[in-house]
Amino acid sequence: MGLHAYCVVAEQRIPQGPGIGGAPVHAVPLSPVAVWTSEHLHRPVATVEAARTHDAVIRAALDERSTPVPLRFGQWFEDAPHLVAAVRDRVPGWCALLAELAGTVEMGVRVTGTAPAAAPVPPDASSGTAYMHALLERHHAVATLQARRDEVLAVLRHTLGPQVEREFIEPGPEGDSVLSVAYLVRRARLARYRDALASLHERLAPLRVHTTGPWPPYSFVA
Amino acid sequence: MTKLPEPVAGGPDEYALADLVTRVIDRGVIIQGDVTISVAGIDLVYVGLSVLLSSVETLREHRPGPDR
Repeated sequence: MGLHAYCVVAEQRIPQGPGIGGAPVHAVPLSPVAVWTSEHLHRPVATVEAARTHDAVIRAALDERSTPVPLRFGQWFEDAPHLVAAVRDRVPGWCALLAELAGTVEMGVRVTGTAPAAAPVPPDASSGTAYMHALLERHHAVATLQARRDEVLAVLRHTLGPQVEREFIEPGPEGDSVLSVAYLVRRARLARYRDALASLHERLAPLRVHTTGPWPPYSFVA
Repeated sequence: MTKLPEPVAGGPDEYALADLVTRVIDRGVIIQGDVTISVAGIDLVYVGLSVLLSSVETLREHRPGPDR
């Protein structure tokens, strides 16, 4: 038996559920904040469904004025007293973080290429020469994609920069993903952010632009 | 009280899933020093995203039981 933890919120927020596996969500008070948790016989497994539910509980804590501090999936505690003992010293920092994040959401932008980042080296290359040629081709593809990544980042910063508070650039490139960036955006600027997003598709063509959000601010609480 | 703003147009399902799993599994505050993610009954201290997605697909194929 134990507690799975979802997020940190201001203590007056009423827990919203259901949590993973339909378990009710309860608040563990740490005035002036609280940690939303659900109780389980065993530590929840990281399935897609559990990940969606974890995110859904955190999203339920978002509103116009307050933004929760998301906890990474997998925070597991024996019981409430153990949770309190583990986080008591972090409460002042969390209070500051909640104040900093109030009124913000996270938005995502992913730019993908028209071809894979790099062709896999054929495992059955018939000769060392063929193998080396394949490695060289892959090296050129990665170098091209890296250069393109820098160009894309410059376009994103020029286009979206005025509308965002912070950016988080994911490591890469990876697969056909040239660049993936998370932005912290104030709700009051979301309309301008969306307008700026609309121009990106034309600016970055033939690369494709995929947008997601709003999210709780997962990328800005580490 | 107004909740989340209208979502922006998303990308293909695989990107949306990758974005979700990346955020939930690989971001957010860590309270405990080691985050143990149990995937397919195997405890892993850290799971790279590509490995995790592969494992998630394996879980889907084998229709895991309800979340505990």
